[in-house]
Amino acid sequence: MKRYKCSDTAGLLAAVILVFTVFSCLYPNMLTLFNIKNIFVQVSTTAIAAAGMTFAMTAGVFDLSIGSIQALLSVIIAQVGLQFGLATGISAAAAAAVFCGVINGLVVVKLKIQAFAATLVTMIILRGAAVLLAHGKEIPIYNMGSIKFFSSGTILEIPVPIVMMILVYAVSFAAYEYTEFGMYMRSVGSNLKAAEISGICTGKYLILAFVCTAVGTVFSTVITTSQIMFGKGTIGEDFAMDVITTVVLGGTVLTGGKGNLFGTLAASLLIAVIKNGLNIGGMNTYYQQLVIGIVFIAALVFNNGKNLHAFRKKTEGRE
Amino acid sequence: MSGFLEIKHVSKSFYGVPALKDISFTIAKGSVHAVMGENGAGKSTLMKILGGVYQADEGEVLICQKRQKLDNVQDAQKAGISVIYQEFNLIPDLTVAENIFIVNTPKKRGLVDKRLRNEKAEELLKSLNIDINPRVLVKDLSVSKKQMVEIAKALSHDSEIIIMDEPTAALNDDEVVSLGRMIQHLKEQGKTVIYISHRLKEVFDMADTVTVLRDGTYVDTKPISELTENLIIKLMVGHEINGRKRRESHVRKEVVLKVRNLSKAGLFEDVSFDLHKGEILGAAGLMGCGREEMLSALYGLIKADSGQVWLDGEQIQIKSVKDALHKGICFLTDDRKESGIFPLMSVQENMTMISIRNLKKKLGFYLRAQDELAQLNTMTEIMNIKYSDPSQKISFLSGGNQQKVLLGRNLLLQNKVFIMLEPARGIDVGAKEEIYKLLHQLTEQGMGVLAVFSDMNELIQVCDRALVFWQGRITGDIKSEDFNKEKILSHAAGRGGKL
Repeated sequence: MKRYKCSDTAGLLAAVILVFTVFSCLYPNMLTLFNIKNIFVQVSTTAIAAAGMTFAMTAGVFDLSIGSIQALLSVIIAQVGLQFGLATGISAAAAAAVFCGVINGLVVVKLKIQAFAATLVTMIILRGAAVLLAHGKEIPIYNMGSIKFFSSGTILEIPVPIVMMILVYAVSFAAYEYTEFGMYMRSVGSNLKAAEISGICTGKYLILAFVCTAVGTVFSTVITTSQIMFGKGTIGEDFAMDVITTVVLGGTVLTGGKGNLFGTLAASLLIAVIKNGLNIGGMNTYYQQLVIGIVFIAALVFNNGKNLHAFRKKTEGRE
Repeated sequence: MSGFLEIKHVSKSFYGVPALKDISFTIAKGSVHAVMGENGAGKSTLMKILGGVYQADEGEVLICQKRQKLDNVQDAQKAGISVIYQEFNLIPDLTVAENIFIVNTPKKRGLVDKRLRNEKAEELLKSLNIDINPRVLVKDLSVSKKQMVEIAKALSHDSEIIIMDEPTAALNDDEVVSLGRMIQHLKEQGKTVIYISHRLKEVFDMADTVTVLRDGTYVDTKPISELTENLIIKLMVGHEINGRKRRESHVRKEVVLKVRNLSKAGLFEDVSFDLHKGEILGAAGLMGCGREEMLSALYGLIKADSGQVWLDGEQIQIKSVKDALHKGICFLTDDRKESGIFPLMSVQENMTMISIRNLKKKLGFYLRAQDELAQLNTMTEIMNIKYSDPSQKISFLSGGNQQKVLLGRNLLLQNKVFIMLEPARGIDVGAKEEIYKLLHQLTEQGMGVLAVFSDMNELIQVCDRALVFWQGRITGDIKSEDFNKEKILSHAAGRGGKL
């Protein structure tokens, strides 16, 4: 049985290609291998975190705190990395991310606070923790050159961020479509009560949802930290919004139950292509935001139309 | 005589699939007109056309020989048609009065006049003999009272025609009787009631005329005096079903489930019984008698305070749903939509939701599509489930087919005891028969079934024995030979079998 329907993402992919073609006609600089690589590298940090967020939103929750988690992780990579080496730094960051995810999950499951409110609070707490840990300063890591591999290294000519992105999406897609884990994640978002009656440990999967977003953030943060070469408690303030926007634009249902990983990937590409094209065209950043906003509305209207169509089909002709 | 409401050559299709084909019939003023048919016969579609939710592709609707424009719900209300849908359109956090006058809110100088609103609501409710305080919140009302509020809301628009789409699906016997009185009252006031129901008995109690639809086509309209239950079934299905016969019993000597002194404060107390292999044991009682809660405790959804449970002679502890499933106890919910189906997921996934845990996976985690498909196919065959594609969303299936998927989900495991809440609720006659047949097969194989049927006729027809609950205790234990409605009801009312 084929589970994944390509038609769910076809519209977005068509939009990506259309926008890219238009820009390529306008600005010949657009269609160079260098620039295309550049677009993919730019997209990688948001796209990787968005894969994790797709799982969370499929399970019917979402995580506003990942921006703060990103800041905390960058500080941990910098501080632990400087003292004990890069590998230990990244491992410590990964452990911290899982811990943050579990805490988020426990607040939602055990204290029964809605994900929105719960992660809004942990967002503030973790931001505070990140700034405290960095003593309010930037922690430069210029003498930790090995981390550069994660932003400017290549594997078989492909930049490492792109390789990481491909791997994350391959694993996520397989987990989403072909494992019990993926099915139970969807079931929890689709109907929590029915999942409980089916003997699914709903609490466990909700906690795992937050762990997914946090783990995605680890990969993103390693790339980001390697790009900026310092750890800082105030980075990533728009990160959560960027990621959530991407997931929503990609067609994941806000109320849970149905995610679209390829849609998420396509949506992040769409945003990156537009930004890139407008940059090359030399448009002012403020105008860029206006344009991107309008494109979002168009995409959502298109998606809505499709959902509405599906909804009508669902309710009509039923007795 | 020409009718008051005339439906002429109405056709409607959805995405090329015809749902209604050239329907024509008339409804007399001041009558109670039942529209019957199996799931998928087109009843609800027709009602939604009358209510302005859908627009007919062809044909017209006439009231008093005037053609009506029914492009939206407002048009229908102006034409004097109000529809009470299966799913209520009440807002739980508003009061009864606020719900009734949600559109035509009484105002004074542009501001809402709360006192006037409550007075008007009170007056309206009184005129309908409904005893509800208009100031209480709708969410605090019982299902039947909510229904009464829906009716009052419909009448606040001065509607001449009131359409009720399966109003009794969620009501118990007492509540059905009071709804019947209500409909009688409306009829006396000269209102026309169009009534959709699956329950034959009610139709004979309430309706004057019956129209039968089958597969989107019009079959016949007859006064109730010319009809019998079997005749209606024959019109609905197109052939006769000899379902009124009691099935053969498969009760064996061995006890599969032994329950002793099971208690949970405030819900049920000191419940003890034995369930035999191959037995269908019905739990009867009125709403709030604790039977659903007791059964939920056996499945681990509620944790009992005290009591012991033995399965196949071995004492077991049920602390969670996982425990219950592991030991071989499974459960069918009575609320398909709320806690049964996974609406955004496929038929296949809905079917294998529980059993994939036991599937062998490649590399320990990779689910092979053919394994899942094999499970789905087994159940599809056994239960004759109809769907177009395994990846079709479950929401697109009819109620009967959804129910079969939910049953199949549990049957894919080797279970010993099946707890079912309302296994045949809200599904059509044909699917009901199939589910009864399935019960028959299961018990033949030795499965013990614990079931709740709020429809007493169903309980009497299906069960081998009935436990009657009253205020959380078992007050009666009746064998099928001694089944009769009065006896069960008197136990359920705590009168110890005496009327």
